[in-house]
Amino acid sequence: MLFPTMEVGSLRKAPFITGDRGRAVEAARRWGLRLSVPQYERLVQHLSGGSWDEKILLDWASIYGLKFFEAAGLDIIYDGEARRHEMYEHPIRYVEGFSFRGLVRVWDNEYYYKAAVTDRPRLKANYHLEEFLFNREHTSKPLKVPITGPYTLADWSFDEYYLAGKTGENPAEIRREARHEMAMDLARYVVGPVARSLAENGATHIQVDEPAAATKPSEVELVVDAVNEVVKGLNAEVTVHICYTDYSLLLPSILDMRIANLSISCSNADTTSLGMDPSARRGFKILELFREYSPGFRVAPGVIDVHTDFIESPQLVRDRLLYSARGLDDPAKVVACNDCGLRTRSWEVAFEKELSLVEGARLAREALG
Amino acid sequence: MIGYLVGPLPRSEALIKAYRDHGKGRISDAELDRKVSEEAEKLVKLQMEAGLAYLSDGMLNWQDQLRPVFEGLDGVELDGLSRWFDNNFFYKKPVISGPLKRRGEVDRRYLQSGLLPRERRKLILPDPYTLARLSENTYYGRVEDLVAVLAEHLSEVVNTLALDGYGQLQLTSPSLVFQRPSRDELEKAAMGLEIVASRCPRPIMLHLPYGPGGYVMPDILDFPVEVIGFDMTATSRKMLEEYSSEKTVYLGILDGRNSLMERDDRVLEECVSLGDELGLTEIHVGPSCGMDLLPYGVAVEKIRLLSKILRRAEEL
Repeated sequence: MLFPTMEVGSLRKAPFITGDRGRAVEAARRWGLRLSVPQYERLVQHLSGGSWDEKILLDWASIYGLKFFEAAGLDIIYDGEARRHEMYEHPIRYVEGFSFRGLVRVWDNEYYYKAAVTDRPRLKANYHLEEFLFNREHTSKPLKVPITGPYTLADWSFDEYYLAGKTGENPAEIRREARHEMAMDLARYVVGPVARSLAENGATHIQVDEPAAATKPSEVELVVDAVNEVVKGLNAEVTVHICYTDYSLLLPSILDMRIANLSISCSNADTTSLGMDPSARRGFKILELFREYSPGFRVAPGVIDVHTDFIESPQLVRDRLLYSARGLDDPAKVVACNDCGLRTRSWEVAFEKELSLVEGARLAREALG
Repeated sequence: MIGYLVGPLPRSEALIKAYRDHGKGRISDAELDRKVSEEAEKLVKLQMEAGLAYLSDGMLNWQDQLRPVFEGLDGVELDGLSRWFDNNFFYKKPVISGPLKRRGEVDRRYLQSGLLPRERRKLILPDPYTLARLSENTYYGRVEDLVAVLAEHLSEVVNTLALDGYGQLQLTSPSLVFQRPSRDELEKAAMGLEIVASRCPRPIMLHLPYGPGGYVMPDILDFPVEVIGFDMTATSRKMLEEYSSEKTVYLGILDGRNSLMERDDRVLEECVSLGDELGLTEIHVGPSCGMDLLPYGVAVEKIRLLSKILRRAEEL
């Protein structure tokens, strides 16, 4: 089937997870009905009874997340990362050889807890397996499990291990070597084993998130090597997600990634005008560059902008998909996706956007006969 | 050997909380300003105790290094987040769509000048070329025109913030070394510095973080500045040894972006031998860049490490 639809990542926390009990009960009932969540009345009863067991609520949040994407009609889904708070600290807490050093600024007054690698990393436990097994029990749709990639874990950490004791004439070269060892060890001993264990337990799709991929343009080959180490011998379809980046900096090196799909953001830089005119579809211009290199993987351009409440019409989604198909010179190379996770949007807006994604993909298929 | 810092310092957890509280309307502007001053005072005291030659207030109320220059100007909007070189830090990109003109006063709160004795006061800003490179410009037809206008506005900011002078003005130019500049780009950068140098008191330091100094050698030696700072986490010693100059050299030898603590004996040995090799009468040392992307505690520890290195150097 052309233009399969795939979710990318997070949703805003489930609307019934709120300190306001009245609102929680109302949201659980309303979304339970709207998404046809099986036995949603049990959650309503749980909330109405004044019982607020966090584990139970998170289980329900995952179920609602799964049903959210199911009800919207997507082909490949997950739970909106309902149990996750962020993508760095959580995995690092499951890795031996890291020590948290404190808060580090990302912009203005936004911070994250940054850790230092202090020894060779070793996985303590698969930090996504329990979540996946739970989700598998609650849907018959294919699941795509997002995991933070090894290069990003390395780039967002300090290095007190690989650099220590290294000497030489060229400090830049020393640092390059250290970063290579660190990212490859994280691929070999942490992210790779997590992905393999998920696949062995039935995960058919895995998404490796590498938001740091273009941070250091000179290290794109390392990003590729680390991803390829993760996917080596992996029995699952792998998507790599890299968003809000100048993708030309990654080409042609990323073509060597042995993956099924590359998920990228396009709509955030696009116009909302309908049509196939290049000036209307300026956010998708990068696909022409991809075509020049004939990638071995499919491209999943974001046809939904997750940073605005504007609801893309199905016709706009259709035009973006058809333009992508033309850009790549092959509709079979296009997967229909969002730019990124929908965490910043309300469930109401996110749901309307996903309905448009699905309907727009159908219209695009129809247009191609 | 003298030591000092070359960029912003991180906010403490208490100050981060104060900013969050301010964002939620729980504390007033005045209360936040007071908290910033208190925290800056602690950092100035720390630098004094560490024996640093020049003192910075830590630039704790700067959301990024560009904003104090562009705020208050007409013709520009700060729009969207862009990556700050190869860091996991993002600044608001200036989008220039009209002639840059000052609309109001420079916000003097950007320098806690009262905490800094004039002769040791240090003011740090990006150089005009970096300001231009990091902006999106749809108004000025020629980049050199934009660099010149920015140099004028930058000079005004410098002279307003440090009304009664300073011990050192640092202009930071990562754009000159992040990628190898062309001759034309070097000339534009030099022109911007000449404008600032003609309007602001000396001495001026040009610091080059995030890239190898070799990209701009030997041309940089003719720039109108007294001190040139190199990021020694990216610059090979061999490259510096190839040239001789009357300029003072700052060795950014402590990694300002990594929590690994350098060994003081090794750092000292490296500085002394490099100083001998270059024939330096005075060696300036410190971190490779601003330490604002380290956790607060780590940055404090690095300042103490610098202090230890300076003390050991004195003993030699």
